[in-house]
Amino acid sequence: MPAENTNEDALVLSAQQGDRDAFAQLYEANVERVYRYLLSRLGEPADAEDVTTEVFINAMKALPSYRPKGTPLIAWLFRIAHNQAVNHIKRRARRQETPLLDTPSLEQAAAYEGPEEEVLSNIRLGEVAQAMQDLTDLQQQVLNLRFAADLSIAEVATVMSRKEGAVKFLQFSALRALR
Amino acid sequence: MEIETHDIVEECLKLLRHGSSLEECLELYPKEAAELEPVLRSAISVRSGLETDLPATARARIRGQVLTEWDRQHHLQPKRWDWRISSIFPKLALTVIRWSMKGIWISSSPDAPSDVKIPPTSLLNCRQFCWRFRSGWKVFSKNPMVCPPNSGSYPSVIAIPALDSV
Repeated sequence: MPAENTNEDALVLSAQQGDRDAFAQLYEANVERVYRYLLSRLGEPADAEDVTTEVFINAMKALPSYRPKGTPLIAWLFRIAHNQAVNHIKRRARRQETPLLDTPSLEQAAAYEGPEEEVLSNIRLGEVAQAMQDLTDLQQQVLNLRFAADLSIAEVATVMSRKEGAVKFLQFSALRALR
Repeated sequence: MEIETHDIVEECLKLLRHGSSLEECLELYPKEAAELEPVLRSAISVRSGLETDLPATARARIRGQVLTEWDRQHHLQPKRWDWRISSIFPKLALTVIRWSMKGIWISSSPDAPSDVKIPPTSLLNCRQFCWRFRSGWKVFSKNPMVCPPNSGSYPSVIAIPALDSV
């Protein structure tokens, strides 16, 4: 893990000095987790793709002010992702394009046209999203960060500015409420 | 009890992540198995529901958009060191002006025996404007030591070394 961090720190430093390839590598290393988190928050694949683009463009703009010895990069990225998701939900609510739901209904998910595997995964996502609607915001955030973004308890604790014990408890209480 | 259980849940999630089965996890914690089983089943369902891959075409498209923006930013905006240098210019210009004015003030203290002696410190301690004419230095000053209040409009313009004739 320290070797990974060292490599990541080196990439961040190179990107801060204007190395395009270094930034591209950081993108490749993190895009999947950022997208999954945003998809679980926003429900719509198209929205998640748009906001993923915004997250990485904002990260690129803010990169000169990022200090690797402070917040880990993944936690920093997910803070940007969280803020972008919240802004997107507010914008969507203001436009009144869709009701104030973070996630698609089962019918919406099933109506999505695409390859069979994508349709099935959207139905699964819709089921999980519906089940998670009764959880508190914090519980939803923990599950999204743990299972969609695949962050460790320590990373989730950093993103949410909470203690690891509190994150474990939120995770447990959320899973217990879902059963 | 609950404080311990959430730690056990996390341990089991780590084991499941590394390929252990649900049954193997439950065997490790027989006393808590009844409470753990539904919680871990929920975790497995949530994970499989949320594990949606980013389609390859979308991944490539987002990468293209982000790197296009990178190129745009790095070609339009000057590099950071350019900003630093450009921010130095006003400060540098101000310093040069100050030093040149200081030079005028100091040189406005004449050295010739017939000239009026004005200590440079008294000139430096007041706000004034100095400029040079063919006849010598002219000082525009509110300092009564330099421009007496009765010497006309106040502040006054006086000439050095012809100060005693004002």
